Amino acid sequence: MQTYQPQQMDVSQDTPPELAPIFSYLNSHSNKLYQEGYFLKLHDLDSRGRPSSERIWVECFAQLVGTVLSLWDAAALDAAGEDGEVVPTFINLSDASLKMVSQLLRDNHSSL
Amino acid sequence: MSGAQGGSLQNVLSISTAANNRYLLHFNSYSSLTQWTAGIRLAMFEHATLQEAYTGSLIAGKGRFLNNIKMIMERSRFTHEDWARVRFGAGTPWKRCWCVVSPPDEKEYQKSQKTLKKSAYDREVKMPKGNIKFYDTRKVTKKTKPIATITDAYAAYAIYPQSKPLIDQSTLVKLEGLVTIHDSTETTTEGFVFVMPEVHAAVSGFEMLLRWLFPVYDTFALYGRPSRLIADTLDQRGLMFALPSDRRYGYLDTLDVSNLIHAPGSSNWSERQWRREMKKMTSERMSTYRENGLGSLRQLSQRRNTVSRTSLPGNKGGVRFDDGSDNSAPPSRTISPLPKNSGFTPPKRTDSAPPAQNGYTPHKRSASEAHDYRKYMAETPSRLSYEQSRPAEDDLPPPPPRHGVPMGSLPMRPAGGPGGLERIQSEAEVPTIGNVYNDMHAQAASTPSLLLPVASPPAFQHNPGARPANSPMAPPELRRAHSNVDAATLYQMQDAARGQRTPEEEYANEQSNQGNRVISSQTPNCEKYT
Repeated sequence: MQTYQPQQMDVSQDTPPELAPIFSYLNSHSNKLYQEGYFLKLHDLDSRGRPSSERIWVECFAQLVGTVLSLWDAAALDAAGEDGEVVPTFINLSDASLKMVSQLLRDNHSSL
Repeated sequence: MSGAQGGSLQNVLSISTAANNRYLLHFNSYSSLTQWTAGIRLAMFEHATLQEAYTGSLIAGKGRFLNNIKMIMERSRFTHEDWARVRFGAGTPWKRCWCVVSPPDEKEYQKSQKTLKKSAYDREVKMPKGNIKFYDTRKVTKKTKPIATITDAYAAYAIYPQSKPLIDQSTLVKLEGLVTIHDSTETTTEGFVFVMPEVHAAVSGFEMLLRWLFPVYDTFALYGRPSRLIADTLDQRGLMFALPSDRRYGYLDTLDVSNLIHAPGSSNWSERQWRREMKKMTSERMSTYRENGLGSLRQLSQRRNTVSRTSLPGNKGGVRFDDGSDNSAPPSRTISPLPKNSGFTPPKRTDSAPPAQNGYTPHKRSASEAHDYRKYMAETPSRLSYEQSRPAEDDLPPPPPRHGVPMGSLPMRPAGGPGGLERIQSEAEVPTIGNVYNDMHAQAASTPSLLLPVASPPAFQHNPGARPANSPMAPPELRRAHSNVDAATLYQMQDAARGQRTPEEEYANEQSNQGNRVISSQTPNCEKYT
C-alpha cells in the first residue's frame, strides 16, 4: 500500500485511508470488460426451477463487465443498424455456478 | 460448425443464477466456450477475492475504532448464538433464523495447538473445525432439528454494499462451504448462504458484523484465525491475499484460467477447488513478478496488452490488523506450483476476443462517480424502476447461485417495516406453504447433468469475435442496478438494523406454524432508507 497513489476520487473525509485502495479496486472490477462476443442463449429453467417458457435459442451479443453479463438480441442489433439502440438484458453472475456441458441432447421433434 | 453433430449439441455452458434460473450458452467452437467460461470464472474469482480484501480492509481500517475490539478478537471458546437473517442461496427469500456458531471442541483445539508447536509448517496441522446451525426457533434443545448446518466453510466475507452509509450499517456476509439441509433425508452439498446478523440496540452494524465474523473464522480456522488474522498479501490463506500495491487489481487473465480449464480433472472440480487452484495460480504469478522483476512484467504486459505495472511491494501490504500483536506472517508461505501439464494446447485467442486491446477498463468512468455515494443514493429510486420495468425474461434477483437452497414457500410475515413497501420478485418469493424442505431438496439435488433436451440451435449469423455495427454499451448505472445488493436484501438490512424488538417479534417464529416464515419479500422504501 505504500506505493499506492490514489486516483482522482471523492473519498469522503471519514473514509479510513485503509479503505481507499479497496474501493478503487472494487470500482475497477465492476467496470472491467472480461469478455465480449456472440453466442446463442437459451433460458432453460425459470426462477422456480421449472422449464422456462422461452426455451428457445436466441443469438446474442454479450459483454461481461464485472460480474454482470449484458445481453443484446443479435437480430435486433442488426435491425437497429448503426444509429439504433437496443436495450440489453442483464444477468448477474457474482454468485453463479458454471458447468461446461460436453453433450447436450437435442430434441429432434422441435428442431427448427 | 455449431458443434451440433448427430443427436447432441456440444460447446454448451450451463449457468445457474438467481433463485433457480438456469441459462444455457452455446458457442460455435470449443475455443470460444473455453474463453467465455474462463472469463466468467475470472470475473467471479476476482469478485470473491475483492470482497475478502474488502473485509480485511474494513477490519484494518475501522476495527481499531471499536472500543471493545480486543474482546471481539479474542478467540471464541463458546457457542455464539443470536438471530440472523439468512438466505439459502441467492435470489431466494430471506428467513429469520436462530444462528448457533459452535467452535471446535476445546480439547481438540488444545491438541492441535500442541501438534502445531512441534510442526515446522502449520499447514500440515489439520485444525479442528466446528459448525454453524440455523434453527427457526431460539428454544433449541437436543431434539430440535436445525434447518441447515454449515460445515467446513472455506470462505466468509462481508459483501461490499456499494454505498457508504450501508458500510457502517451492513452485517451482510457470504459464507461458502458445505451446506446440509435437514430434511427427512439429509442432503449435503457444496454451496453458500448469505447471513445478516441482527443488530443490537446501540451497536453499529459494523460491530455486529465483527462480533459474528470472528467466531465464524475461529470455528472454521479461516484466514489465520483462531490465532491472528493473516495480513500478508502473499499468503493465499489471508483475507488480503493478492491485494496489489499499485492501482491495477488482478494477476490472472482469461488465458490463465483457460489453462486451468484444460487441466486434467478440472471438469470435476468443486467451487472450493476452483477457488484454491486460482489462488495458487495467482500466487505463482505474483512470485514470478517478484523474482523476475520488471523484465518479466514487460513481457507479461505485452502478452496481456495491459498497461505497465510496477513490482510488488514488501509483503506487509501496509495493512494492520489491530489485534494487539504483530503481523508477522506465518512461516509457511509456500507458493504452490500450478498443475503443470503439457498435455494440452493452450487456447488461442481467435474466437470471441477478450477485450484486452482496450486495457482492463474499457468503460471509462471517473472513479469519483462510483465513490460519490450521494449520487448513488439519488439514483436509487430510478434503479428500482428499472428493475421493475425489466423484461420478464431477465434475471430478476441479482446475485444467486444454484447450490443454495431455496427457502421459498414460506408464509409471509406481516409487514413490520417502514410503510410504502411493495413486493417485487414476487414469483421467486411468493410463499407456498409447507414445501420448504421439498424446495430445498429439489434444488440441492438438481445438477446440470439433468438437462432436458433442447431444440436444435439456429445457425450462427455472426462471427463470435465480431462486434455489432453500433457498438452497444450498457449504461453503467443500469449494469450497476444488477450488481448492487438487491431490493429484498436492502429491506432486510434496514429491518435487521432496527435494534431491539418487541417481545412479540422476538418470539414471532415460535408462534407461527412450524416457525416457517418468510421474513419479507418486500422492497425497501428507498427514500426512507436513504
